[in-house]
Formats: sequence, structure tokens, C-alpha cells
Amino acid sequence: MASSLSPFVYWGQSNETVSLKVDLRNVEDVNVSLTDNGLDFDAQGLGIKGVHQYGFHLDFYLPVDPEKSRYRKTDIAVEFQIQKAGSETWPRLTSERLKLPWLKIDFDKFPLDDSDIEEDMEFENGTSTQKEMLDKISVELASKTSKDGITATQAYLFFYNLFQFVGYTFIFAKLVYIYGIYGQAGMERAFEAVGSQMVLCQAVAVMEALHPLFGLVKSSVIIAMAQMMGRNIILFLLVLQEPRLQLSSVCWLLFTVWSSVEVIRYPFYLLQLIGIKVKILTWLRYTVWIPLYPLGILVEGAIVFKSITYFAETGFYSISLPNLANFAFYFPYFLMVHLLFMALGGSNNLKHMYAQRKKQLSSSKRIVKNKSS
Amino acid sequence: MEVNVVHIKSGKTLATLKELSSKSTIRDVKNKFQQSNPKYYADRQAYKIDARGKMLKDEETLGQIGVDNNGKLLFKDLGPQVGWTTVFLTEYAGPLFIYLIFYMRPALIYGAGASGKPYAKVVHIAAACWSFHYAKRLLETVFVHRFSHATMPILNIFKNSSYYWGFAAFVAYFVNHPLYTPPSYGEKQIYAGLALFILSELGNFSVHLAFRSLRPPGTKERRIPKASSNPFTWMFNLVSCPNYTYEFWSWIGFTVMTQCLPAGLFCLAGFYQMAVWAKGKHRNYLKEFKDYPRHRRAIVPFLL
Repeated sequence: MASSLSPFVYWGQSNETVSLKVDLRNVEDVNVSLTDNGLDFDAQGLGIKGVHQYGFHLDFYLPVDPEKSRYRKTDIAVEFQIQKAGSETWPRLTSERLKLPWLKIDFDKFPLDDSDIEEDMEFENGTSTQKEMLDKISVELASKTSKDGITATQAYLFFYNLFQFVGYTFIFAKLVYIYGIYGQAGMERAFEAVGSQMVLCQAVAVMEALHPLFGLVKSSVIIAMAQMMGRNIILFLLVLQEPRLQLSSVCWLLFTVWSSVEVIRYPFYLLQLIGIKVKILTWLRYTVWIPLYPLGILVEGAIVFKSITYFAETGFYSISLPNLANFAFYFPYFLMVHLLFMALGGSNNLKHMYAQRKKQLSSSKRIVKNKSS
Repeated sequence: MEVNVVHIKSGKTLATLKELSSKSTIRDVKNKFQQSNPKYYADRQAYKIDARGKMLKDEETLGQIGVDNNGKLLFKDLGPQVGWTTVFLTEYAGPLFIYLIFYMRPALIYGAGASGKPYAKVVHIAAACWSFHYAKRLLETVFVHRFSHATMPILNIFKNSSYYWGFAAFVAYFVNHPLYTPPSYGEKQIYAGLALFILSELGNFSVHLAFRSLRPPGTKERRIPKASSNPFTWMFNLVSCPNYTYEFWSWIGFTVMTQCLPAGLFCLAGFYQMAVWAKGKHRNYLKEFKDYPRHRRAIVPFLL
């Protein structure tokens, strides 16, 4: 096996069967061994590395029935039709969770209906089977690059970032303008001036939590989710529902802090997508958070704090006894717990940005450092 | 022969164990390692031959695994451990006490006025059901269950107890509340819920007994569970883990009986966790037994 190269193998499944397509042409001396639990394949053929001995070994997720399984040679591949012993849908082909770079999903054969994908269940060791499937599919999607030109992912991300950049630049500019023209009084008109634009951009920003989930972007799903949820709880659950918050100057502060961060972040991503690194923009991206993030945390905290009183007064989102469901919920308590999470999440976020800064900004200074110290 | 114990992450040789043979079991290896490293009691050690492979079982011998003289075993520290029995007793005793505090001393929770108001009949029934459920669990832990593993990581006891104790307080608070509203459909609803609860408790107990007789005492053997003459065990024909199926229906019964949303939330949370466990067990059965009945589902007949 050590001397054999691994060929590309595309797999798919139905309820009863598993299909494998071994990407080799002009195949000779095929050696196939199919047992209840696995498959050994060895053959000479024309593959990605030219004419060579190719082979692989697979341990199946669940047992199969070798008696009822078949394979055949075609001009362009060796195709297997393997009968499963049962009729369960497999979240992956292999018994253990392995990263096999030569094993790919056959999109022609793979059923993507919700009815075929197993419910979102976690096993004792962690990741959900559905997430595994999505991970695999998204990695396949991301790697479907064309030799020249742009992938669908890149085009989409470019337009996404461009949209947000335009949106937040408008918001930022208008906020600065109303302060410039109306001064202190202008700060109380922030929601009136840019409220709907803010709602639109933040609603679209929900996508940002999904980008890492679908493998379009390499970043942490949890961090993206936390950032998006944190902001949207404040905007949609609190500010949007409480006129007193909308008319307060703290709203101007909130929107200005948010949009000033975005006005740097989105162009940074845009340039990154087309492979350009502008030093000053990189520096800004990894430096302006130092004053702006703590300021943002303070402003957000102040809004949540004020909301505790407001929502206690109005009783909005709260339900009290007696009622037919025998359940009670007091929203201000939820807000207090949320303040705690914000403190924890905020400090985590700052640590994360600090680590990012060290990584991104010191890589260009490494040569200089060696000489001086 | 001698065997080297190598740390799975660092690659460092932690010890060279002598006086072993091909008939020595992993358990023997663990005991020997503990002699020179008393901090690592046997239950805390885990061994593998392949870093990405499965943990080796205590009963496997060095000969069976293919480790010979100067061979190596990869060592992993599972962290401080606590016994399964200890965990179960702790996590089940809590809900029993906590619910009874809310039920018997409402003044402590709801203020002085609470003790004056009499409970609706269903509140008494609910307290009896809840107490019965957890008393049953405690007794089963001591007298019925035969565990595959001796221990689990120590953090689990805090995690699990938070879940059980937290939900116990959550449900108890609302059912025993002075402003509790009895079910909309009155006695019909209460007794329907109660009947479902009682039948499901009986079913769950029958399944636990069936599991017990499936495993010979003192062993960790696993066999295909089958229906017996007890009608409650006929559920095995439909699902791999009927104990979880019945448990879910118990809590549905309790929720219907009390018409209490927190009880419903507790039921759903429990179902989610049990479904995860059931799917795992179901898959293990399918892998281990070639002749495992194929029409069986994991936890919900015909569906899941």
C-alpha cells in the first residue's frame, strides 16, 4: 500500500446503497477485496499522477453486504455499487472521522434533500452529523476552483463586502454630518437619520455568521455568531422596541462606533479578496479596535443597563403568573444575565483581537526584530 | 517482556514496564503503571496503539493487540475520575430534595403568605409522581443497573448535577407556586396524564430489568436486547432504547397532567439528550451485531 498512490474517489449514497467512483482510466490488474466492514482496492491505471499503481483502503461507517455489491470498469473510472446491510443514511463514508484528501463527494449522486439527511444529532464525542455533512459539502464547494477566473464564493463575498462597505460608509458619513451641523442636538436624531439603513445592514450581516459555517470563510463560527448576535440583540430586541432609546444620544454613539469599525473592516476584506494588502489599511484594521472595541462595549453595556429599567416599566417581553401555561419570564433578569455574558464575551473578543494583531502586524517586522534584538 | 509507555501528545517515554507477557491484559498494564505513578489510578489511564484508533479495552491482552518486547503503548490521561454510581446518586438525590423543599416549605420560596393557601389536588399528585420517579432512579442505581464503565471524568458530576438540579428547581417553582393554575380540561386531563406517567414508569422499569438480565453479573458483555413475556418489553421490537422512549412519555404525561410549560421544556431537553445517546447506542449495536434487527429505530418507533 505504501508504494501505491491514492486515486481520487467520489462517493455518494442512497438509503440502501453506497456508490464509489474511482477516477482512473485504462485500468489494469484490478484487485478488489470487499468485506462486511471495508474495501481494499489496488490497480494500475492512468490517474492524476500519470500511469501508476493506485490503491486505497476504506473502513465503512456501517456494515455492507458484499454478496449484493457490484463493480465495473468504464473508460474513465471504476464504479462500485455497494449494498448497505441496513437502510440508514450515513453522515460520512468512513468508520472513523478521518480527513482523506483523495475522498470526495459525488454531487451527481448525493441526495441533498432534508429528508435524507439525518437529524441534527450529536454523538458522545462532539460534532453533529449534519454539521459534518455540511462541512464536507462546503469544503467541496470551496475547493471547486476554476484554473483561471473567480469562484462563485469569491464573487459573492466581494459583493457582500462591497454592499456593507457602501452601507456603513453612508451611515458613518451621515452620523458625522448631523453632529457637524446640529451638534449635541444632532446626536438625538441618529435613529431618525440612519435607523433604517442600520437595520438593513445588520440584517444582512446575519450572513456573516453563516459564512464560516458553510466554509466560505476561514474563521471561527462561534466568534462570528457571537459578534452578530450581540449586536442584533441590542439593535432589534432593544433599540427598535424602545422609543426612549431611539431618541437618546447614546444611540448616536452606538451607531458611530459600529460604523467606524466597519468602514475599515469591509474595505480590508475587499482588498484581501483580490489579493491586495495595503499596509495602512491593515494597520488600521488591527489597531482601531483598541479604542473602539472597549468604547463599543461600554456603550452597548450602557444601553442594556438602561433597558433594564425601561423594560421593567413597560413589561415588554415579560409574562407573569397566573396564566394557563404556568410559566413566567421577566425580561429584565434576562438582560442582567446578558450583561454578564457581554462582559465575558467582550474580554474574550479583546483577547482575540490582540492575538490577531500580534500575528498580522509582527509578521512584517520579523526581519527587523532579528537584527536589532 | 518490557513495554514502553509513551505519552500520546508529547511522544515522551513515561515509563518502561517490566515483567509483562503476551498474556498480560491492559488492566495489568494500568495497575503496573500506577505502582510507579500513584497519581494515575487505573481508571484514569487510557491506552491506544494507534493515535487515531480506538481506546484499548481492559480485557485485551498484549498478545491480542500485537505488542511484543520493547513495543510501545500510547498513554492518555483521562483526568480525575468519579464513579458512575457516585454521579448517578448525586444527580438524582438533588431533584428529590429540591422539589420536596418547594412542595413542603413553600413559605421559604414564595414568602410567608404562601403556606396559607391550600394546594390544588394535582399539585399533590405531581409531587408524588416526581418523588416516585427519582426514588425509583436512586433504587435502580443501587440495585438494578450494571454499568459498562466504572468511572467518568470528574467535571461531569458538576455538569450533570447542574442540569438535573436546575431543572428540578425550575419545574418545582412553577408547579408549587401560589398562583399555579390547574389544567384547562380538569380531571380528565389530570388522570390521562397520570395514567400515561404510571404506565411509562412501569415500562421504563421493565426495560431496565430486561437490560439487567441481558448482562451476566460482573461482566461487561453486550448482547442484542429482545422482547420477553413482559408486554412492556415488546417495545424492543420497535426501538433499541425503549427505556428512553418510556422516559420521554413519562414526562409527557407529567407535563399534560400539570399543564406546565417548564415541565414541557424539561421533557424536550431530556428527549434531545436521550435521542443523542440512543442514536449512539443504536449505531454501536448495528456495528457490533451483523444480525441486528434492521427495522428497529433508536428511540422513536418507526421514526428516529
